[in-house]
Amino acid sequence: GRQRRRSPVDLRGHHQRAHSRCARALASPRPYATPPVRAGRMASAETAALQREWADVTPIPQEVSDQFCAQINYEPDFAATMDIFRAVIKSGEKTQRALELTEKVIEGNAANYTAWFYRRECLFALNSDLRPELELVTDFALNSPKNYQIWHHRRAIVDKLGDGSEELHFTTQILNEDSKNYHAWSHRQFALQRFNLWAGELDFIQSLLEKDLRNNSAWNQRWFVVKHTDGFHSADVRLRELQYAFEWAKKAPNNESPFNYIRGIMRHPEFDEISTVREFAEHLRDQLRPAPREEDEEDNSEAEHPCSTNPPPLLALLVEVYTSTHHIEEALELCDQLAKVHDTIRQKYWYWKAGRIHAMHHHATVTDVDSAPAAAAASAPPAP
Amino acid sequence: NQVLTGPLNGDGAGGFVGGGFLGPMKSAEEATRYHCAHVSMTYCALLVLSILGDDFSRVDRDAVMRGIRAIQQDDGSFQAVSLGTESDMRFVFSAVATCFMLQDWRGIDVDKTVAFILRSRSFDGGFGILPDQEAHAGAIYCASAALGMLGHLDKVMGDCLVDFLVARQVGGFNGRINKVPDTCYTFWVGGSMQVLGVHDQIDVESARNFILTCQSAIGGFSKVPGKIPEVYPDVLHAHYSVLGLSLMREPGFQPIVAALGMTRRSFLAAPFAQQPGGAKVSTGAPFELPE
Repeated sequence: GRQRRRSPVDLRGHHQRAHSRCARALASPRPYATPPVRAGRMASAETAALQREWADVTPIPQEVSDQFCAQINYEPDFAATMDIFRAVIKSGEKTQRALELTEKVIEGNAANYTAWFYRRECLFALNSDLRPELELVTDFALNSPKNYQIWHHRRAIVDKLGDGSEELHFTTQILNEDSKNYHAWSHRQFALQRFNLWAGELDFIQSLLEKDLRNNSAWNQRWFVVKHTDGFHSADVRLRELQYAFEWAKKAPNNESPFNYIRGIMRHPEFDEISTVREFAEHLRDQLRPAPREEDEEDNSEAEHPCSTNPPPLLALLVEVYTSTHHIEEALELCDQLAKVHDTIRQKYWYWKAGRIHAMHHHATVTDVDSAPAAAAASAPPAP
Repeated sequence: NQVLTGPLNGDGAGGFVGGGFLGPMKSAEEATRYHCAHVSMTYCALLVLSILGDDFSRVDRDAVMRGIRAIQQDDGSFQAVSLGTESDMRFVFSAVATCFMLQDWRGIDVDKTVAFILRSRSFDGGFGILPDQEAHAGAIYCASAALGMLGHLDKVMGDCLVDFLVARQVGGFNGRINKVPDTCYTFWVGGSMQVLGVHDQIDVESARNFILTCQSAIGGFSKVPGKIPEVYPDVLHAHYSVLGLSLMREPGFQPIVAALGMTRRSFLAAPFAQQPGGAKVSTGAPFELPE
């Protein structure tokens, strides 16, 4: 396989130079003087070779003017390569050398969406074998895993190939470096759906949660898989998913993710398992209460473990449960405790929430005692 | 940096580019096929022009609108450039904000746009940048601000979006559940809360303290706390830290209109506000400025 390419920019040197420039600018009487463009810096031998290869085109420089207020001080190699590229896109040449040129442009700036687009045009015009292209994209992605253009290019190539057989392995590679990489998850979802790769995904998610049960991206992926396979409309599935979330919630009761998952299920239009959720939440809360202390022991439970005895995600779930079951006093009491003791950073929110619950209940009792749908509708989003 | 549309780049190219990296474009005939606007640059250009007090008289509104029409997808989302890029909520926001600033909704299918935004609603009440994607404060900002400018905020009735947003505050703000705080999320989260009218629920002291721990010795703000050379300030995080502080009514800072990312002062002086009743949303109703 390809050697993993080194980053095209020497980051440590870059930061050192940037720091020196800052220090000089601050010391200078005119800190915003325009820096000299490319003074005394020569292009490399590699660039000279490129210029010889392209001696038959007239390079097109980027416009420079002292009217421009944010002019970039390009490195000479970068500018020379771009000067050639500008000429090539003007001529529209779609040859092997043009394809190779796009790689150099992309190495200079992997976010150049025009270069990536032009590269695709060259690949398709030349009817190039797209499999080596996947390897190139893998290299670039491992170097710059959060670059939108690289991911779009991968998707376009995979789409054209009509082959998703490498995409789970590829995204797993990226997720091994950063288990929450948003692009990787998005691409993985695309591949799963497009190529029907569902088998094994729940096991993959399980393995990620075993490494980090707070990985919210993995939780989101589980919702995605269930939604597109079994579906949440079945009570059996909802119960299974609730039990799954309950187990993880017990392992770390201050972990938002499984509680959010549970609340998502509660918002499903066919949700009918409120007593199951209530039982779980009340039981867990009881389990977390400190053991009764001897007469002479100080009760330091709140000071020692404020979160572990009253974790906000668990209490927030109970607020939602009690609102749903019309145990309004219990719900309001919890909002008060959260505001004053357990989740004080959200004090204003919890007072607002209490007001919302009060208003809903008041509306419900004033208009119709059995107006459960009205109360539920006030807190529900559109169906997942 | 306004793109001239000619025989090679066509109607879909109208709008603005970020800079001259594609080469000079002295005339529409000289524009190559690749001289195409980027919708986020169009948004930035119009925003900066408004802030600087321009009257938009030199903006080719029709070209911009044709450019917007060319980038909407069948599913209601928008790509960035008519040639072809990824499409997601970022460009939905940029396209909607462009239409709002020109007070011209002819370039977009509003119903399809709203439908795409709602399909991107996450099970936990937030929004992802695409349907089924993890809820992310950046996507939530784009979705909320777009719905606000479209006049369809009522489609996110219900508390669970507020629940999700307030839970992002862990001192500073994070962008997703169980991630570390980053100064720019003060704006993506706080700004979304302003769009929804609940930004006064922010714990200002905690948020402010976090931002200040990210203030650099050489000025500006970084995304996370730390010292040079491990951590550097950058313009993006400086910008969103300042906007975040403004949102929280920092003394001496201008009040802002988070939906667009500009001060209230600039908003009221901008071309799109100079009509009876002020700026309008896509339904024709007045755009409500935040408290």
